[in-house]
Amino acid sequence: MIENQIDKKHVEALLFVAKEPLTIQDIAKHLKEDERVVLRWITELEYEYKERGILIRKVAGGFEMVSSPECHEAIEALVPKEYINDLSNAQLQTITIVALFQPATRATIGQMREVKNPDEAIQRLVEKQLIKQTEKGYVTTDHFLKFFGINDLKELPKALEKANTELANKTKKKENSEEDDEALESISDLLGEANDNPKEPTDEVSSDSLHM
Amino acid sequence: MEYIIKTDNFEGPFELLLDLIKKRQMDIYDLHISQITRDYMDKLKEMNENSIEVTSDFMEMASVLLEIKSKLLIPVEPDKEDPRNELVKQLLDYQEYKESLEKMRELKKIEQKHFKRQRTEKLTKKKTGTLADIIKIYQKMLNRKSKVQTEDGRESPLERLKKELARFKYTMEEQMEFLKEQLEHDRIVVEDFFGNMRDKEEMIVTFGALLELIKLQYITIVEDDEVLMIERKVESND
Repeated sequence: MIENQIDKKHVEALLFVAKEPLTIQDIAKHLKEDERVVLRWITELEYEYKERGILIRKVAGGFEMVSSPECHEAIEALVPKEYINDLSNAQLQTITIVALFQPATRATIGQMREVKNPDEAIQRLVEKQLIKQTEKGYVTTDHFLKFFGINDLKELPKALEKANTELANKTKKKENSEEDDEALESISDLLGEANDNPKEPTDEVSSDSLHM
Repeated sequence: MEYIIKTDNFEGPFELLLDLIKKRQMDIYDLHISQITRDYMDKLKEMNENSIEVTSDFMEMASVLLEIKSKLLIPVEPDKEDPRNELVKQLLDYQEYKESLEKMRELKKIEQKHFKRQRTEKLTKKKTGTLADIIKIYQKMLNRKSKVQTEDGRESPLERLKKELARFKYTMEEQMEFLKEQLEHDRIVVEDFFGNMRDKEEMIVTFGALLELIKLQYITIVEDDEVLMIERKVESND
């Protein structure tokens, strides 16, 4: 069916057009190519896209193209409306509990959130297909992985660590600016002291002279 | 005048307990239960004095703490589980959850900076339903149900519903008119009036009508020689 010689270009084209992450198996099947070859092409592409406005990454077990996070401001200006899908505090609390302690029962969610009725948030998350109900409790879905940009649930701790570093950097920046303020203050203090200084020796001298 | 003093506001017992543990610089794995129970109880008392609602969750935790405390008084059997374990596990889980919350928020923010070719947020694009939509469905179902009935000749659920509705022979309005009519001639003796009725439903609906007329101040109930009577309050128009 495919007339041209199959190569890396084809993988790139597939990733560009696909609306959902594609697994190595998907791509190999589409291109009728060996999985190991596909993996090599993707690895090469990943590398080639490193410094571009688009990057290739692995999410929910598949590969996809996304815009580089550095460019987000420019894109938001263009497509602001697509930003409406957000989580309420209650929903974020609920999904955090489910993600950490899955399968999480309704009782666990209620107890952790310290609320009597956790159903509303649970229902919204089920509707958003971020969590689903199983016999043992609520678990996260593939859509959850895509929503938070995680490749595999096992990688959640790593992802949280990354987010924590980001948070720490933010507070550091804040502290730095506060430190700058403090530095300015201490400089002005020093300047003030410099003005006060001439007085002190004279006081000392006078006291000394008194002792004498 | 009651003054409400807001001190630290704790969402729940776990948050409060962790705060107390932190203040005492205690190791969660090695909780001094008697100390922390005392702190906890003091805090509840303080909350009470400051008119902060102490919910049942807080009380439940207090009883858990007291139970653990009492268990610890009994000499420890070597093969028995530490009575604190359950609480420690819950506290650790709660702590992990609280610490992860902001990280999850940040993770979401990071992810939202990655744009895909198409963000399929079907749910948010879904328009909210209106009353008209419900009416449309209702009419559709009515239509379909009546068709079902004609096709197989049997009684359709809709038909049954119609019969069910027909069973209510009396309406408030009718019974109000009926009462007014009766009162044109004379006062009504309550006991006889209800005694003459055939079924419970008639009695209930008529009683409702009676109350309605009293509310409208059309009629009044009088006691005459230990007999209850319904009397017309307004003068007759004719």
